[in-house]
Amino acid sequence: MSISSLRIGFCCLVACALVANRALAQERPYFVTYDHYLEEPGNLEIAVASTSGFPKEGRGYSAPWLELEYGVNGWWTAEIYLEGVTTRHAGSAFGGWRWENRFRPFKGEHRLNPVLYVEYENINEASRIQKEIVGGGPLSIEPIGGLREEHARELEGKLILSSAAGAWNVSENFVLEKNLSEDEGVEFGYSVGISRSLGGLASGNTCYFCRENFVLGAEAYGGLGSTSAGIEATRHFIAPVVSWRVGNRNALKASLGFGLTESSDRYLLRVGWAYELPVRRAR
Amino acid sequence: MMPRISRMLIAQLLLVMSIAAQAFVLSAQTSERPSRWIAPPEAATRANPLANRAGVVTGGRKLFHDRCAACHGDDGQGTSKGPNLSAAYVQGQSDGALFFKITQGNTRAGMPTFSFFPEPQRWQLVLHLRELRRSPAATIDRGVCSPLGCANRISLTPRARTRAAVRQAGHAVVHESCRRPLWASLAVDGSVGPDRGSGEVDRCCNDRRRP
Repeated sequence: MSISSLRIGFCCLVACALVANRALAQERPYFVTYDHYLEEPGNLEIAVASTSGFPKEGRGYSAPWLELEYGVNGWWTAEIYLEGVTTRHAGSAFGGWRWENRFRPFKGEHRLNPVLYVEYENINEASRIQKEIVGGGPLSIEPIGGLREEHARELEGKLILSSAAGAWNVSENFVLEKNLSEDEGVEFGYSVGISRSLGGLASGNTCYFCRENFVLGAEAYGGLGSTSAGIEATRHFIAPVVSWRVGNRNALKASLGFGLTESSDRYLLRVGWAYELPVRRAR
Repeated sequence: MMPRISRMLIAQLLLVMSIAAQAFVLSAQTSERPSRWIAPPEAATRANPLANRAGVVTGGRKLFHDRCAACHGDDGQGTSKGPNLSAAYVQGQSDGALFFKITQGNTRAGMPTFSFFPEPQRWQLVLHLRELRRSPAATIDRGVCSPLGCANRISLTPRARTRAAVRQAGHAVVHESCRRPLWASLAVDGSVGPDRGSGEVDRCCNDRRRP
């Protein structure tokens, strides 16, 4: 699959979403960190996003992805990702797919709300979306054409802990990942996020620039080494995030990550758009 | 090469099987009848701080339309995904109890957690829920008394009756002198427990009269 066909697919989905008659929008402001809010049962969220990297050495890249998130029921949300990557003058590639599941074991709201996360990834070494960062070492600067031939089937688990404290959300994710295609040991990572809605009382009118439509926050994420290579040359980022709910259907979000270590890219710019579609709405 | 491929296949097979097994177990758990969902007393006694503020209910109406109507219907009368919010067993609860349930959610029954709303917005939602009480679809005639004491006469909509398995053609009469009110035995999906269908209410009350 070429990057142009991915773009065409994205455009079709955007068009489908725009002609749908009604939806909701509940979008966490984070790109990497997960909180304990699952997709509402029966809703399908369609999201497109992109991670653009500005490395200290080598070519910049842009990695778009398509995300389909479905609320199976109140305690289970499933997602499928399709991702691509393109680099300036160095080719494009389909990065692979991911199947993600999040389970919420407890029914109510607690001080600390755990969510269990299991993901299967069938990707290649050209993958650059960096939905999570694990292990150590910088990203490879080899040409995309070569990297896309190196396939990796990975199993990833996360323990998501999240709290609502007043108007704030605080979330912590602990990541471990096992590459089933290579013997690389188990890799570890983390992400933490804090965010706050700017709104107090909701206004009675539809408004696009009301404070209640904005959520501001920050997240930090990075690798914590692996069982085989230790904790050397890990990558870490800190990124302010902003989410803007546009009407009741769409949400836009953006973040600019700053690399904190020598191995990290200088910046990671992420932008995303999400549309929530209630597909199982019966009277 | 072959052993490596077969090892990968086995790993993938195990992964799929484990996820399927987990899904099966969890769905079996949740296919059980949802347990009673009652707010704790300290939450139920909270008063709505916006109760006397004019105009803020319109914000609650907008939030309801955006976030709740997909399951509960535009008019709050319920859909196959969510119960009728104008029904007596909902309206009979205190503001604090409704606020608690909006905040907490009940993921086992498909009700999401809405703690991400700022607290004032959740109270605005409660205000809007109270507006649904005045909807013509659900009426509550208070002060109907019987030899057992005062009771509430509750008229449910035909739809709510069907979903709640209240099979009487007329009114479902609920006696407050029974062990617990009807709403306490209603699951969040709107169904009535087998012991509290309308035909069982009188038996329940009669049992209570016996020494």
